[in-house]
Amino acid sequence: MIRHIYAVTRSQFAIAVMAPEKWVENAARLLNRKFRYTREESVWLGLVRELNFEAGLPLARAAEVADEALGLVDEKGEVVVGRKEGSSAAIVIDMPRFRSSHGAALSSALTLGGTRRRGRPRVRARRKGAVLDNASRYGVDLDLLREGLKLTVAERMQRADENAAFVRAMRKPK
Amino acid sequence: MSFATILGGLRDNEVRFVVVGGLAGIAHGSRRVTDDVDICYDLSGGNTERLAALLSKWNAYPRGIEPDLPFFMDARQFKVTPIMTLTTSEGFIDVLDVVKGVGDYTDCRRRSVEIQAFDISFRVLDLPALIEAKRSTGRPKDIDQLPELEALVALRSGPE
Repeated sequence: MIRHIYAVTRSQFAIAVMAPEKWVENAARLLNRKFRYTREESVWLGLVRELNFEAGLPLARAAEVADEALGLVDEKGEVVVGRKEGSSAAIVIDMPRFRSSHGAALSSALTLGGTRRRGRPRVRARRKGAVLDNASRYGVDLDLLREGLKLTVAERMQRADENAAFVRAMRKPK
Repeated sequence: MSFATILGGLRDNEVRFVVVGGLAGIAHGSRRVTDDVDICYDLSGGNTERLAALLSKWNAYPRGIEPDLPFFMDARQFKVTPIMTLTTSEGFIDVLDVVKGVGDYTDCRRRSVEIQAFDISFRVLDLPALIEAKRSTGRPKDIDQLPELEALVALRSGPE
Protein backbone atom coordinates (compact mmCIF):
# COMPACT_ATOMS: atom_id res chain seq x y z
CA MET A 1 0.00 0.00 0.00
CA ILE A 2 1.46 3.34 -0.95
CA ARG A 3 0.73 6.18 1.45
CA HIS A 4 1.59 9.63 0.31
CA ILE A 5 -0.39 11.44 2.98
CA TYR A 6 1.89 12.67 5.67
CA ALA A 7 -0.09 13.64 8.73
CA VAL A 8 2.28 12.50 11.42
CA THR A 9 2.49 12.57 15.18
CA ARG A 10 5.20 14.39 17.08
CA SER A 11 7.19 11.21 17.62
CA GLN A 12 6.91 10.29 13.93
CA PHE A 13 7.96 13.81 13.00
CA ALA A 14 11.08 13.48 15.18
CA ILE A 15 11.97 10.17 13.50
CA ALA A 16 11.56 11.80 10.08
CA VAL A 17 13.77 14.70 11.19
CA MET A 18 16.33 12.17 12.49
CA ALA A 19 16.42 13.87 15.88
CA PRO A 20 15.19 13.20 19.41
CA GLU A 21 11.78 14.66 20.24
CA LYS A 22 13.39 16.95 22.79
CA TRP A 23 15.62 18.47 20.10
CA VAL A 24 12.56 19.13 17.93
CA GLU A 25 10.80 20.86 20.84
CA ASN A 26 13.85 22.97 21.63
CA ALA A 27 14.39 23.88 17.98
CA ALA A 28 10.77 25.00 17.66
CA ARG A 29 11.18 27.22 20.71
CA LEU A 30 14.55 28.66 19.70
CA LEU A 31 13.46 29.29 16.11
CA ASN A 32 10.11 30.62 17.28
CA ARG A 33 8.25 28.22 15.03
CA LYS A 34 5.10 26.22 15.55
CA PHE A 35 5.31 22.97 13.61
CA ARG A 36 2.28 21.25 12.13
CA TYR A 37 4.29 18.08 11.62
CA THR A 38 4.00 18.03 7.85
CA ARG A 39 6.30 16.30 5.41
CA GLU A 40 7.69 19.61 4.10
CA GLU A 41 8.49 20.75 7.62
CA SER A 42 10.26 17.47 8.29
CA VAL A 43 12.44 18.01 5.21
CA TRP A 44 13.28 21.53 6.30
CA LEU A 45 13.94 20.71 9.94
CA GLY A 46 15.84 17.57 8.93
CA LEU A 47 18.22 19.74 6.93
CA VAL A 48 18.45 22.26 9.76
CA ARG A 49 19.32 19.41 12.11
CA GLU A 50 22.00 18.12 9.75
CA LEU A 51 23.54 21.57 9.36
CA ASN A 52 23.37 22.17 13.12
CA PHE A 53 24.52 18.75 14.23
CA GLU A 54 26.95 17.69 11.50
CA ALA A 55 28.26 21.03 10.20
CA GLY A 56 28.14 22.77 13.58
CA LEU A 57 26.16 25.80 12.42
CA PRO A 58 24.22 27.68 15.10
CA LEU A 59 20.54 26.84 14.85
CA ALA A 60 19.41 30.21 13.46
CA ARG A 61 22.13 30.16 10.79
CA ALA A 62 21.32 26.54 9.96
CA ALA A 63 17.70 27.58 9.41
CA GLU A 64 18.77 30.36 7.02
CA VAL A 65 21.03 28.02 5.06
CA ALA A 66 18.30 25.35 4.89
CA ASP A 67 15.87 27.95 3.53
CA GLU A 68 18.40 28.89 0.90
CA ALA A 69 19.20 25.29 -0.08
CA LEU A 70 15.59 24.18 -0.35
CA GLY A 71 14.67 27.34 -2.23
CA LEU A 72 17.04 26.52 -5.07
CA VAL A 73 15.25 25.37 -8.20
CA ASP A 74 17.85 22.77 -9.08
CA GLU A 75 18.76 20.61 -6.12
CA LYS A 76 19.60 17.52 -8.13
CA GLY A 77 23.26 17.55 -7.18
CA GLU A 78 25.47 19.29 -4.68
CA VAL A 79 24.37 22.82 -3.86
CA VAL A 80 26.63 25.58 -2.62
CA VAL A 81 24.92 27.81 -0.06
CA GLY A 82 25.62 30.12 2.85
CA ARG A 83 28.16 32.29 1.09
CA LYS A 84 28.23 35.72 2.68
CA GLU A 85 29.20 38.77 0.68
CA GLY A 86 32.95 39.15 0.55
CA SER A 87 33.53 35.76 2.11
CA SER A 88 35.48 32.97 0.43
CA ALA A 89 33.80 30.25 2.48
CA ALA A 90 30.54 28.48 1.64
CA ILE A 91 28.71 25.27 2.50
CA VAL A 92 28.28 22.38 0.08
CA ILE A 93 25.23 20.17 0.62
CA ASP A 94 24.83 16.85 -1.17
CA MET A 95 21.08 17.19 -1.71
CA PRO A 96 20.43 13.75 -3.27
CA ARG A 97 22.16 12.16 -0.28
CA PHE A 98 20.11 14.26 2.11
CA ARG A 99 16.88 13.39 0.26
CA SER A 100 17.87 9.72 0.44
CA SER A 101 18.36 9.85 4.21
CA HIS A 102 15.20 11.82 4.74
CA GLY A 103 13.16 9.41 2.59
CA ALA A 104 14.40 6.44 4.62
CA ALA A 105 13.72 8.24 7.90
CA LEU A 106 10.23 9.28 6.79
CA SER A 107 9.45 5.72 5.73
CA SER A 108 10.50 4.42 9.17
CA ALA A 109 8.47 7.16 10.84
CA LEU A 110 5.33 6.20 8.93
CA THR A 111 5.80 2.45 9.37
CA LEU A 112 7.22 2.19 12.86
CA GLY A 113 6.27 5.48 14.51
CA GLY A 114 2.52 5.46 14.99
CA THR A 115 0.61 6.47 18.04
CA ARG A 116 1.70 5.18 21.38
CA ARG A 117 -0.10 4.31 24.54
CA ARG A 118 0.67 6.33 27.60
CA GLY A 119 3.27 4.44 29.57
CA ARG A 120 4.03 0.79 29.32
CA PRO A 121 1.33 -1.78 29.99
CA ARG A 122 1.65 -3.10 33.49
CA VAL A 123 3.41 -6.43 33.82
CA ARG A 124 1.84 -8.65 36.42
CA ALA A 125 2.87 -12.10 37.44
CA ARG A 126 -0.20 -14.17 36.67
CA ARG A 127 -1.17 -17.76 36.95
CA LYS A 128 -1.08 -19.73 33.73
CA GLY A 129 -4.85 -20.16 33.81
CA ALA A 130 -5.36 -16.42 34.23
CA VAL A 131 -3.08 -15.69 31.27
CA LEU A 132 -5.06 -18.06 29.07
CA ASP A 133 -8.39 -16.66 30.29
CA ASN A 134 -7.20 -13.15 29.56
CA ALA A 135 -6.08 -14.14 26.05
CA SER A 136 -9.37 -15.88 25.42
CA ARG A 137 -11.35 -12.84 26.58
CA TYR A 138 -9.20 -10.73 24.29
CA GLY A 139 -10.33 -12.84 21.33
CA VAL A 140 -7.37 -15.16 20.95
CA ASP A 141 -8.49 -18.56 19.68
CA LEU A 142 -6.64 -20.90 22.03
CA ASP A 143 -7.64 -24.02 20.08
CA LEU A 144 -6.07 -22.51 16.99
CA LEU A 145 -2.89 -21.79 18.94
CA ARG A 146 -2.80 -25.35 20.27
CA GLU A 147 -3.21 -26.69 16.73
CA GLY A 148 -0.40 -24.41 15.52
CA LEU A 149 1.92 -25.64 18.24
CA LYS A 150 1.51 -29.20 16.95
CA LEU A 151 3.23 -28.15 13.73
CA THR A 152 6.99 -28.02 13.40
CA VAL A 153 8.67 -24.60 13.21
CA ALA A 154 9.45 -25.25 9.54
CA GLU A 155 5.77 -25.99 8.85
CA ARG A 156 4.68 -22.81 10.64
CA MET A 157 7.16 -20.73 8.66
CA GLN A 158 6.08 -22.36 5.40
CA ARG A 159 2.47 -21.51 6.22
CA ALA A 160 3.47 -17.93 7.04
CA ASP A 161 5.17 -17.64 3.66
CA GLU A 162 2.04 -18.89 1.90
CA ASN A 163 -0.14 -16.45 3.85
CA ALA A 164 2.18 -13.57 2.95
CA ALA A 165 2.02 -14.55 -0.74
CA PHE A 166 -1.76 -14.46 -0.50
CA VAL A 167 -1.68 -11.00 1.11
CA ARG A 168 0.66 -9.74 -1.61
CA ALA A 169 -1.59 -11.16 -4.33
CA MET A 170 -4.62 -9.44 -2.79
CA ARG A 171 -2.76 -6.14 -2.66
CA LYS A 172 -1.70 -6.25 -6.30
CA PRO A 173 -3.65 -3.76 -8.38
CA LYS A 174 -5.95 -5.53 -10.86
CA MET B 1 9.48 -13.05 -3.67
CA SER B 2 9.12 -14.83 -0.35
CA PHE B 3 10.42 -15.11 3.18
CA ALA B 4 12.47 -18.06 1.94
CA THR B 5 14.31 -15.97 -0.66
CA ILE B 6 14.92 -13.12 1.78
CA LEU B 7 16.23 -15.33 4.57
CA GLY B 8 18.13 -17.55 2.13
CA GLY B 9 19.70 -14.46 0.53
CA LEU B 10 20.80 -13.12 3.88
CA ARG B 11 22.37 -16.46 4.79
CA ASP B 12 24.05 -16.91 1.40
CA ASN B 13 25.59 -13.47 1.65
CA GLU B 14 26.84 -14.15 5.16
CA VAL B 15 24.81 -11.36 6.75
CA ARG B 16 24.63 -11.75 10.54
CA PHE B 17 21.09 -11.15 11.70
CA VAL B 18 18.37 -12.19 14.12
CA VAL B 19 14.74 -12.33 12.97
CA VAL B 20 12.61 -10.16 15.23
CA GLY B 21 8.97 -8.99 14.99
CA GLY B 22 5.98 -10.82 13.56
CA LEU B 23 7.86 -13.60 11.82
CA ALA B 24 9.67 -14.48 15.04
CA GLY B 25 6.25 -14.68 16.71
CA ILE B 26 5.04 -17.06 14.01
CA ALA B 27 8.08 -19.27 14.54
CA HIS B 28 6.97 -19.58 18.18
CA GLY B 29 3.37 -20.37 17.25
CA SER B 30 1.62 -17.03 16.69
CA ARG B 31 -1.26 -17.21 14.21
CA ARG B 32 -0.89 -13.63 13.03
CA VAL B 33 -0.24 -12.92 9.38
CA THR B 34 2.72 -10.80 8.43
CA ASP B 35 4.14 -9.84 5.08
CA ASP B 36 7.48 -8.45 6.14
CA VAL B 37 10.71 -9.76 7.60
CA ASP B 38 12.11 -7.72 10.50
CA ILE B 39 15.75 -8.26 11.28
CA CYS B 40 18.22 -6.87 13.79
CA TYR B 41 21.64 -6.80 12.13
CA ASP B 42 25.20 -6.74 13.40
CA LEU B 43 27.00 -3.44 12.88
CA SER B 44 30.49 -4.92 13.06
CA GLY B 45 32.95 -6.71 10.81
CA GLY B 46 31.70 -5.56 7.42
CA ASN B 47 28.22 -6.92 8.07
CA THR B 48 26.51 -3.62 7.25
CA GLU B 49 28.37 -3.45 3.95
CA ARG B 50 27.25 -6.98 3.02
CA LEU B 51 23.66 -6.20 4.00
CA ALA B 52 23.69 -2.94 2.03
CA ALA B 53 25.10 -4.66 -1.06
CA LEU B 54 22.42 -7.34 -0.90
CA LEU B 55 19.62 -4.83 -0.41
CA SER B 56 20.98 -2.77 -3.28
CA LYS B 57 20.89 -5.89 -5.50
CA TRP B 58 17.26 -6.30 -4.47
CA ASN B 59 16.49 -2.68 -5.44
CA ALA B 60 15.56 -1.69 -1.89
CA TYR B 61 13.56 1.51 -1.53
CA PRO B 62 11.88 3.10 1.51
CA ARG B 63 8.38 1.74 1.91
CA GLY B 64 5.33 4.00 1.80
CA ILE B 65 6.88 7.13 0.30
CA GLU B 66 6.58 8.46 -3.21
CA PRO B 67 8.71 6.71 -5.82
CA ASP B 68 11.61 8.23 -7.73
CA LEU B 69 13.17 10.16 -4.85
CA PRO B 70 16.96 9.86 -4.68
CA PHE B 71 17.86 6.83 -2.59
CA PHE B 72 21.29 5.32 -1.99
CA MET B 73 21.50 1.84 -0.54
CA ASP B 74 25.00 1.66 0.85
CA ALA B 75 26.83 1.51 4.15
CA ARG B 76 26.80 5.31 4.38
CA GLN B 77 23.01 5.28 4.31
CA PHE B 78 23.01 2.81 7.21
CA LYS B 79 25.14 5.21 9.25
CA VAL B 80 22.56 7.99 8.91
CA THR B 81 19.42 5.85 9.07
CA PRO B 82 20.28 2.59 10.83
CA ILE B 83 16.58 1.69 10.99
CA MET B 84 14.88 1.34 7.63
CA THR B 85 11.56 -0.03 6.43
CA LEU B 86 12.12 -1.18 2.87
CA THR B 87 10.36 -2.67 -0.08
CA THR B 88 12.56 -4.89 -2.25
CA SER B 89 12.26 -7.19 -5.25
CA GLU B 90 12.05 -10.05 -2.73
CA GLY B 91 9.44 -8.50 -0.45
CA PHE B 92 9.22 -6.15 2.52
CA ILE B 93 12.12 -6.08 4.95
CA ASP B 94 12.65 -3.91 8.01
CA VAL B 95 16.23 -3.57 9.20
CA LEU B 96 17.02 -2.44 12.74
CA ASP B 97 20.29 -1.88 14.57
CA VAL B 98 18.51 -1.88 17.93
CA VAL B 99 15.28 -3.50 19.11
CA LYS B 100 13.45 -1.52 21.77
CA GLY B 101 13.27 -3.37 25.06
CA VAL B 102 15.92 -5.88 24.02
CA GLY B 103 18.98 -4.07 22.67
CA ASP B 104 21.41 -4.38 19.80
CA TYR B 105 22.40 -7.40 17.74
CA THR B 106 24.52 -8.88 20.54
CA ASP B 107 21.60 -8.65 22.98
CA CYS B 108 19.16 -10.03 20.39
CA ARG B 109 21.48 -12.91 19.56
CA ARG B 110 21.89 -13.73 23.25
CA ARG B 111 18.12 -13.84 23.58
CA SER B 112 17.42 -15.82 20.44
CA VAL B 113 17.02 -19.43 19.40
CA GLU B 114 18.22 -21.12 16.27
CA ILE B 115 15.54 -22.58 14.04
CA GLN B 116 15.43 -24.58 10.83
CA ALA B 117 13.05 -23.52 8.08
CA PHE B 118 13.16 -23.14 4.30
CA ASP B 119 16.11 -25.56 4.31
CA ILE B 120 18.31 -23.12 6.19
CA SER B 121 19.00 -22.36 9.80
CA PHE B 122 18.81 -18.90 11.33
CA ARG B 123 18.13 -17.26 14.66
CA VAL B 124 14.85 -15.76 15.86
CA LEU B 125 14.23 -13.73 19.00
CA ASP B 126 12.97 -15.92 21.85
CA LEU B 127 9.41 -15.52 23.10
CA PRO B 128 10.09 -13.60 26.37
CA ALA B 129 12.35 -11.13 24.50
CA LEU B 130 9.74 -10.73 21.78
CA ILE B 131 7.13 -9.91 24.43
CA GLU B 132 9.43 -7.30 25.96
CA ALA B 133 10.09 -5.78 22.54
CA LYS B 134 6.38 -5.55 21.76
CA ARG B 135 5.63 -4.08 25.16
CA SER B 136 8.40 -1.51 24.83
CA THR B 137 7.27 -0.03 21.53
CA GLY B 138 3.96 1.01 23.09
CA ARG B 139 2.24 0.90 19.70
CA PRO B 140 -1.35 -0.37 19.88
CA LYS B 141 -0.55 -2.78 17.03
CA ASP B 142 2.19 -4.39 19.14
CA ILE B 143 0.31 -4.21 22.44
CA ASP B 144 -2.59 -6.06 20.78
CA GLN B 145 -0.30 -9.01 20.19
CA LEU B 146 0.68 -9.41 23.84
CA PRO B 147 -2.24 -11.61 24.98
CA GLU B 148 -1.51 -14.10 22.19
CA LEU B 149 2.24 -14.16 22.86
CA GLU B 150 1.69 -14.51 26.61
CA ALA B 151 -0.75 -17.34 25.95
CA LEU B 152 1.91 -19.04 23.84
CA VAL B 153 4.36 -18.85 26.76
CA ALA B 154 1.71 -20.43 28.97
CA LEU B 155 0.79 -23.15 26.47
CA ARG B 156 4.41 -24.02 25.82
CA SER B 157 5.28 -24.25 29.48
CA GLY B 158 3.67 -27.65 29.96
CA PRO B 159 0.32 -29.20 30.81
CA GLU B 160 -2.52 -26.74 31.43
